[in-house]
Amino acid sequence: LVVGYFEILTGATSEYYLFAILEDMPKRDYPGEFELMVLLAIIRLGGNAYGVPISKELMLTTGREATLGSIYAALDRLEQKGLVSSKLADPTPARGGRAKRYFRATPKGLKSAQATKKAFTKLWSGIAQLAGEPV
Amino acid sequence: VNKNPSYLLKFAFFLLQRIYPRPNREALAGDLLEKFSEGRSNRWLWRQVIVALGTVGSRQLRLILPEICVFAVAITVVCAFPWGLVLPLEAMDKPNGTEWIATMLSVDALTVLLVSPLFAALLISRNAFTWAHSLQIGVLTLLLLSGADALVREWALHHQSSHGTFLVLLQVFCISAGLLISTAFARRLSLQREWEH
Repeated sequence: LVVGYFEILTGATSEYYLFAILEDMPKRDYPGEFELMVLLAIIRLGGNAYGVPISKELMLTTGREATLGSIYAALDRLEQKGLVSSKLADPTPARGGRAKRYFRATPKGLKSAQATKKAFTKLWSGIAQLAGEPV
Repeated sequence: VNKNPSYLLKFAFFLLQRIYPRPNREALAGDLLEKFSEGRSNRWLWRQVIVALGTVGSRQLRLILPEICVFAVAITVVCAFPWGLVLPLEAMDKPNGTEWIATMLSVDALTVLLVSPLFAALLISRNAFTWAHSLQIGVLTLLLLSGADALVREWALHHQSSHGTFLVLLQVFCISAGLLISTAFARRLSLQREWEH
């Protein structure tokens, strides 16, 4: 009732929802740990990167079963940082008439992943305790 | 293989459709349905929905954190204000007709004067202050204040021996809450428009 009242009052009858992801532009534009994992999964998947394959890729490569909600939260942040872009495909009956949203890494995203790899490689090199294969 | 979600699971999807933000709402619901039809359990689906909504909720809470802080400061200001110097608090213990109503109205006015600058500063600092928003906030606040006033006065009429200070603070709390909700709402509206453009 309250939401409906606000809708009428503001004239946002069909566009307004109780919650919406509305945040200021993020202060940093490099990916966090989980965001980096998602970004790399997208790059690995190529043209078939939407929620389900991304979660499967993360499960296969990291052994972590991430929830789709947390994956989409990371995707949302990555998109705000300009590291990935997305487009909606046509709705399919197999998904209850809901469309898939395909993600792809932007040039900025690829550059960011490369820069992160370079930084990590430098950090890793020369550490005696981390030499050789993990036990 | 799960093909048809039960009514309870349809309710989970309804929550998702209603609460989860638009850009990824359809995609997430479709992904959940796709994985669910691969044979995932009801428990798995509920966990996914709860985590998704929890993620959104925590982000929203972080978004309005400054408003909550201003609300706390506003409450502290009005609680610390020496109401006894400007209001006949003892007389308010035994409310009688127009005098009491006039006193409560002056409390309203004074509270708005005390608290409004804080919220106005917040609106300006967060770039959510336009004339259109001001009008919306004004109307919303007026409605919320009227509601809060009606509640407090109704309560006061049934507890005529109550202490005046308590009544004032209760009313101040209601008014501040009204202003907080209006401010947070205005900010959200402003950001929503930025997002859409």
